[in-house]
Amino acid sequence: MAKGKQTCKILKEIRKQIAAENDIEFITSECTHKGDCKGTCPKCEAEVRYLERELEKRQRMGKAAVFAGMSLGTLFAATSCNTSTPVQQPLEGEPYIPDTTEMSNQKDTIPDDAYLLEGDVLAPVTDTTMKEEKKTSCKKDEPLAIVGDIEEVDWATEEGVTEGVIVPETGEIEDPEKEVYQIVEQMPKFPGGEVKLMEYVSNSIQYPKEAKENGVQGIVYVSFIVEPDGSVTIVKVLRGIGHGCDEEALRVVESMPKWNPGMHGGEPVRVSYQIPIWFKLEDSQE
Amino acid sequence: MPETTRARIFGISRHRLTTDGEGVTTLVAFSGCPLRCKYCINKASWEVEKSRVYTPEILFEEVKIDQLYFLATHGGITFGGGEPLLQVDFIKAFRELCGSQWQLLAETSLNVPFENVEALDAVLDGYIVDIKDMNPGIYEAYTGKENKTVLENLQWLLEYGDPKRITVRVPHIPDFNTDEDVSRSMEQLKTLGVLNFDEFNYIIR
Repeated sequence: MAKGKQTCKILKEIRKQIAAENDIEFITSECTHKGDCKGTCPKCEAEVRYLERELEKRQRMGKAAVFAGMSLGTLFAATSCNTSTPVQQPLEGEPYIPDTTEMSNQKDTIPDDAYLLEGDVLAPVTDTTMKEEKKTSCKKDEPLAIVGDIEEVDWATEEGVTEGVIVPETGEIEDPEKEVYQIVEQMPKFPGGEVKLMEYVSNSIQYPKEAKENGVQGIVYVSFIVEPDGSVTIVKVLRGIGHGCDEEALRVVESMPKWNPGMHGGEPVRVSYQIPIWFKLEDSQE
Repeated sequence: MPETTRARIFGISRHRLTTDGEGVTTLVAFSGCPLRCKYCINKASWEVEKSRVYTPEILFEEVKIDQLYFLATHGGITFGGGEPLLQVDFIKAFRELCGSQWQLLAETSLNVPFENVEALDAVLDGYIVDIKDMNPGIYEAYTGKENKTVLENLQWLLEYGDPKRITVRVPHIPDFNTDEDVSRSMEQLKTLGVLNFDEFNYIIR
């Protein structure tokens, strides 16, 4: 857990710096996601998507995005062995504050010491496997994993090879020849905004029985197109976790109410959109 | 319509911080490897059953979720495996999709045909080369293959590009090499022009 939490903290620092360098109003709060967030919980992901949209807005106004080149070494130094939690000072105005506590239903606060990089960071090994030894204690500037080592192969399923990336297409397209935009002057919006979207997903998701019984948790990435009339079509699972979660994510996205469509050149257009849907068992513990 | 290139990928790991290169990187692990190292850390790469078939387009759609982190930290994708340099068409197509700003690295044994190395050098920003051991006997005992091609490919990369883009990993491999062997390997590599080293131990648990 500690490793993931440290990753979460470093990624948050990166987001803060991006916002600061580009004059984006941004408040980030402590990630209260219980467990090994790794920067991929809905709150953290939503902050990234928010920054992307703000940068796109600025680019449309002729401002180039500024990336001053962050040193991860510096960020490690700021987060590695640090038990203190920086106090977040709200900025003026009414910036977007991602809030997904309702979605994850996790209101507990992770104690500060959960962020410590504790001891050995190497993955469990079998008796026939050797691991690369780099470190056994918390030091600055150390990598958090082993070069080239995939620690989590989460799609090695009993069913064997999966062709493609689970792409059951659903929904109907009014005119499949029409151009699909990635970035438009005004991105499509769920009625009520991002927070309402997360509330909607949170309230609609029914944890699949099979996933619950097998303790399956994770994120299902779903892509779809918001049509000019606001309807949601071509819903796909970009990356799933199986055990019924992919189908449930598809069901919820397909049943969403109409969005406010994306606008480009003064007209509603087809826009591609992606959201992460988090499946987290409430009583899970690290 | 031309057939889209496909590759088997057995793992994607996001948010790796300075582990596989500079900045925030995503490790994409291809199935398939010409070597059979006794202590391979990703033996799943040997089994196609544990993989999925991707097109470059689908992979790009999946990993671009972290583009902001890549751009902000000079990070990108590290292709590992398995042996990524067996996936020439796939990586070239991926570079066309992601553009020039993402850093694309390969974590490779370099035990692949020279044509592959040459074809990919234009699209890769750097290499993490797992050299095992420079001694041909030790190398063959540990991997089951000769290292002649490895050395030829490494020499070419050093001569025809900036040596700074290459990091050579030199492991201490219990029962296969000694500290003296490792020192000897590093001396030879320095003579060849290698500038960046990553010396490390395998530890039996």
